[in-house]
Amino acid sequence: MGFWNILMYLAWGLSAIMLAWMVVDAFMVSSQYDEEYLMSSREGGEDDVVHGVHLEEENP
Amino acid sequence: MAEAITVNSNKRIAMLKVLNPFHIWALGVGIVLVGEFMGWNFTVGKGGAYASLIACWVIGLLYTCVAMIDSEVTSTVAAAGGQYTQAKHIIGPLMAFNVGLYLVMAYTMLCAADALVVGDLMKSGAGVLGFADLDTKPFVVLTVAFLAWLNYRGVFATLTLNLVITFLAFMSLIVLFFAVDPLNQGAVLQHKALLTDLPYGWIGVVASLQFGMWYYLGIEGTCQAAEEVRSAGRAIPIGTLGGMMTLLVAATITWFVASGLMPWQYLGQAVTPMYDAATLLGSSKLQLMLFVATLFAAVASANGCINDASRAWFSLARDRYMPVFFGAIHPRYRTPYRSIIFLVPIAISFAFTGLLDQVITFSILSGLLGYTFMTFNMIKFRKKWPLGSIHRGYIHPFHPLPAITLLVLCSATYFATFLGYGATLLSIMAFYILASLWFIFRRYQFVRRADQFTMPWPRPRGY
Repeated sequence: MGFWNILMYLAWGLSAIMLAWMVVDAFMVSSQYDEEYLMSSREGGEDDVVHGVHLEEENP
Repeated sequence: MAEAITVNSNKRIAMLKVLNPFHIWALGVGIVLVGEFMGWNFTVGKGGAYASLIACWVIGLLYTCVAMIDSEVTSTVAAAGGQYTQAKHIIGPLMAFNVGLYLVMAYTMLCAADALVVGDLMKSGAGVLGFADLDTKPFVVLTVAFLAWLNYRGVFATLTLNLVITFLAFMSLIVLFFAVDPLNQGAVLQHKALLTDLPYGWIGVVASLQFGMWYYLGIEGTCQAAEEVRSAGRAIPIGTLGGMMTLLVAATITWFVASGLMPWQYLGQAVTPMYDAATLLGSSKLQLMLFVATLFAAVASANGCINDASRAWFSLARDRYMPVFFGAIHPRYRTPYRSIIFLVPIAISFAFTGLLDQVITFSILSGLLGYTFMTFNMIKFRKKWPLGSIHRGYIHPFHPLPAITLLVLCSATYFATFLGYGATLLSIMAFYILASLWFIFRRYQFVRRADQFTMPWPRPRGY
């Protein structure tokens, strides 16, 4: 088996490991954390109040 | 079975705000730069070398308008989803759904095309080294799997990698520019002999506009990182406009070097024109550099596309426009991990079709539909929230001129696309119309209408 054939098998193998790792980790997270918490984010994140503040409210 | 961890009910999960303007630059330029290494040269095939230069600058103007408009709106709507979130707040749910879908389709298909390019490059490299039968599939899958894994594990490392490889790819174009002795016309570059009149007249110039988008397609993706930058008001405008300037320089250099080395008849159908340019110079070091740079550019583009497609899909899900299951954030890595995993098989499926042309055309048209929306979005944004009513990190000049220019140039590009890919254009339009009907009659009933607007914005003028 030549270098390039080994490289192709290596590529398949690494891909499978990384994809499997993500799927397993995702299942573990789902089993360990409350779904409501995992999906509790809101647009803009934590400090979004910095943006879009109403100037007229800020400086009445 | 372990008991589920319930975090304090008042505590919300959020994506990490760790990115700076350099990451934004790397995201935008990283997605695009592969277009300077291949693809842009189809403009030459459509209308000759001068038509390609006209397309380079005219479409450059189109994207400058996009970058300016995006910078202003995103510096205010600092949320993942980018143009989708903008459309939701400024126009309405149906437009938002369509824009979100354009984004997901455009980036997922572009990612597939980039992975195909990586596979083809590996095959070419193996061929040069004496192994002609390399199967590209394992390298296509590895590209998508590795980049998805990287995206899954955190945005900072993902975009830092993009910063490094995008910068190296850009520098390779600068090195190539100096290698052709640009100030000494005739020594290496043969513009006088190679530049002919417009071979297909001005209709060729119009036809070349469609492929002119390759020079810049994807720079608008910077907006997707708005929720993960430390300061959206600063980082998005600096990163996006800096990226646009970089691309204008890169595009012009690319055209200048390639059109001075190759006749338009060859250049217009070359697969890897910049690699060919290095080959013509007879330097094996330059050849190797351009080979690696093309590889880096393709990987950076795929990386940025996974980042952006997942944020767009995540945002659609967070608002229940798509199944809410995909709106989850990883508690450790703070990434939209379910969206990232979900898009992997889709990208690989598109890539396995091997239809690079069709995949890219779908991506370009989805992008074009998105740019058209921006014109109406910008006009409405300034009307509903005039200057002084809300904080803006950046205010673009000459409003409404950029929005009107953008609409005119988008119309010209639609016409150009219709000339070359009329059936594809109509079938894509039909796809989005069907998707819209599905959204109106089936999906929108699941959307919690009040929950989708959580930005602390004042009531718009006139409402």
